[in-house]
Amino acid sequence: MRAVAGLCVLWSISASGQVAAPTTAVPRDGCVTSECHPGIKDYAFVHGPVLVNGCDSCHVLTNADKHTFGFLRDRQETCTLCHVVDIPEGDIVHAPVQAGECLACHNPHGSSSSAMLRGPTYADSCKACHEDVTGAHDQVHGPASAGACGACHQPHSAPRAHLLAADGRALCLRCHVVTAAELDSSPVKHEPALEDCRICHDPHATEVAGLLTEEPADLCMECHGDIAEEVRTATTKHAAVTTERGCLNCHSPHASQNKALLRERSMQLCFECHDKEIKLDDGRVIQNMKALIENGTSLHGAIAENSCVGCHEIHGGGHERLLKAEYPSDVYYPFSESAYSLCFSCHDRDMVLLERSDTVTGFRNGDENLHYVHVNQGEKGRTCRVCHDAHASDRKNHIRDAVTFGPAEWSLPIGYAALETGGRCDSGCHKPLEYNRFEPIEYPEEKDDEAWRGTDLVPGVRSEPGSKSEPP
Amino acid sequence: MKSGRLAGWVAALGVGVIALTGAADQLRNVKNGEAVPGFKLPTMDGEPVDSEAFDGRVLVLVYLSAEQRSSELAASDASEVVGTFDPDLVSLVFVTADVVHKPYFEKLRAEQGITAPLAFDADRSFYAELGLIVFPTTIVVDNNGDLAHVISTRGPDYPHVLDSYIRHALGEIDDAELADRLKAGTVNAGSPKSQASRHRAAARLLREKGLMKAAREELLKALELDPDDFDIRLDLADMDLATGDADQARDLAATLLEAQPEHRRAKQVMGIALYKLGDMEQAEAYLLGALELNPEPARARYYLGMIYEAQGRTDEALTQYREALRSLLNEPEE
Repeated sequence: MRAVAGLCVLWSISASGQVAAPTTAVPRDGCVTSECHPGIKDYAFVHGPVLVNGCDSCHVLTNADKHTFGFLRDRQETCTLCHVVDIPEGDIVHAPVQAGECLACHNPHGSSSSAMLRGPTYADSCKACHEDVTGAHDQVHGPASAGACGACHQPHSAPRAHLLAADGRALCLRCHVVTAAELDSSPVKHEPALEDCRICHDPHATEVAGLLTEEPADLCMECHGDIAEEVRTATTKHAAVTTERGCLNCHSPHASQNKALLRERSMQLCFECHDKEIKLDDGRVIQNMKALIENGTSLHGAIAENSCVGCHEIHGGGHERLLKAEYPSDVYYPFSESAYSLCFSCHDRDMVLLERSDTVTGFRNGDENLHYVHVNQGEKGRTCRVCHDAHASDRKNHIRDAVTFGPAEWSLPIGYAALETGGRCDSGCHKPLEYNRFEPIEYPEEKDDEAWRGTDLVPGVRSEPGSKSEPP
Repeated sequence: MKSGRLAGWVAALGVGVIALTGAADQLRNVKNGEAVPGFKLPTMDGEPVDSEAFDGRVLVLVYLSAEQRSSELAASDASEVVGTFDPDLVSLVFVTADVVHKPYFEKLRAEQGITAPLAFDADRSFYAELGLIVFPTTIVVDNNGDLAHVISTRGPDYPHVLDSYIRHALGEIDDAELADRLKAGTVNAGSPKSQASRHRAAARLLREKGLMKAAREELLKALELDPDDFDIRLDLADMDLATGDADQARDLAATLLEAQPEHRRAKQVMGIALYKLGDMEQAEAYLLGALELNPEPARARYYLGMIYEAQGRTDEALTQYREALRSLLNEPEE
């Protein structure tokens, strides 16, 4: 370190409180006093040379009379004499570093930060050149909000664009350890979450919760165009899709224990809303499905597999009950295959089409197919729902105890009892009748004027007491 | 498998097959571990199929319904899955009661290239013995002739489930491994084409944010899934244009134009690449060609404007810029 010789001549303090600049060389330990350059050391972190009064390590007196100084070396070498900024080959170099403009970001005398930045945070330096990425957005990423740009960006150089400290999602998962654990431990993973968080998230600030680049429904639809089309064209909307957080009402965006990234098992998810009666705008009421299904012992196929999507269009559809195909809503409906296309998407249509069969159904009196008798009729065809609950019941084959009937919404009893080789119906529809698969019960034909048109199972005589088909 | 037709129940054997299926994956009359009734049924090809012929092998029986979409899908999936196994170890038989729909099944087999026998259970006796509930029903019979697994209907994970059940019946995997395989996994939903489409959409989202490297990686994944998709290749060419690799974009566009000389977008990309490489004359030709076919000409017109401006054809350049702007703003022609 060059010695500085000379006397320090202090002028008298002027009325303004400022001290006149010396006109002769000043000893290096005399540069910073309470009067001269008093604030130079007033930092939490003081640059080493400043701390040891080594002003002459950077500054050289050029004119003692005028007390002017220049740099001892060129601007960059002033810093690099002591500070080695290691720039690996191939790295992208931050422009101020490339230009040797260390002082664009660093205060050479001291700082409130150990990195000797010009402001208390990284952002105070970054904002000098970079537009404020937080702007006036509602949702700001924590590090960005705190001005901690260095949490993600390398200030001098990096091997990747935007001077990021790590590649893609690796950078995010350094802090978002819960999401990392979720992705590691869950069997079903959303592929974008495995690739790049920036597909869905903005790393700085957005208007949408979760730093999403768009509202969830819109964002998901960017990739899931097929679902988007379903939702858009649905004449009956599913509120779970169209309200609040859209897709995120049911789906987990990162990973899940459940298929299709569902937050919960399929039916349990449906029960989150369908655990009470829901009155629709048109006056229809959706019953409490949770109570119905959880209390049932005989569950319809898809329900038994814990899924509502076997029959229902979960994203919205063209059917008022969000059914995937047709199924009459009333107790009477003129039979056609298309009217029961939902049922026949799984069940054997011959169960209703064949007048006689000893194989297609167990609901038969000998080979007389009683499904045919009930359902395959004109105007008064009984729909499946008269006897069966499409979701669950307490009886085998989901047979109901009762069905709502008529404008007065009478609870019409079904009164079904299974027998060893058949069954018996003490229903509100007709007089008690039995059927036997192997020893068909003969019912004498009734005369036309005695027949209960359209309501008898078989026009004829009822079972006699003591018959073989009486319940055991 | 027991030969002959058995009416009613067969006494269950003490086979330790754990029922890992859902509650709905059942037959009414045969439970897991019980012997599956034998059958001898006529087939579409004329030769009868006899269950005895499959003794000692795992047999996959798929009971179909005519003109039912899920049956068609199950037929296709089952053929594909069983086709991956040694035919000496695993066999496939389709069964249907819909004899009257024989022409439908002939067409289906021809279209899907199905070679497994299709048996006709005309009187539904086999149907009744099994106690089927829904169609399609897939039954996996182990090499002892006992019911190993049932799959009711055909869901999106049907191929995976069937493959797992066959392996379990063969003894390749144990109960724990089967349970593990049947857990929800990272199974990509949808066909390779739809997966490619999603990668393409992700690429677009990343590109909009200026994340070119990440966007390119998405496009490469899309290309892997759907190598014949021109638009994915053109997205990559567009990315080359954006990152200054006009050479690469030109070469890619040239390859596509060889296959489809009148491909509008390929012409447009070629035109832009040639412009960036300084070949104005050729660039103009390609862009004009693209314009003829292009319903949204803004981009082509913009680059034509750039070409004319570089050539000092100011009025023509202005016209193109104006048209490009009008197109973008959806303003009517004056």
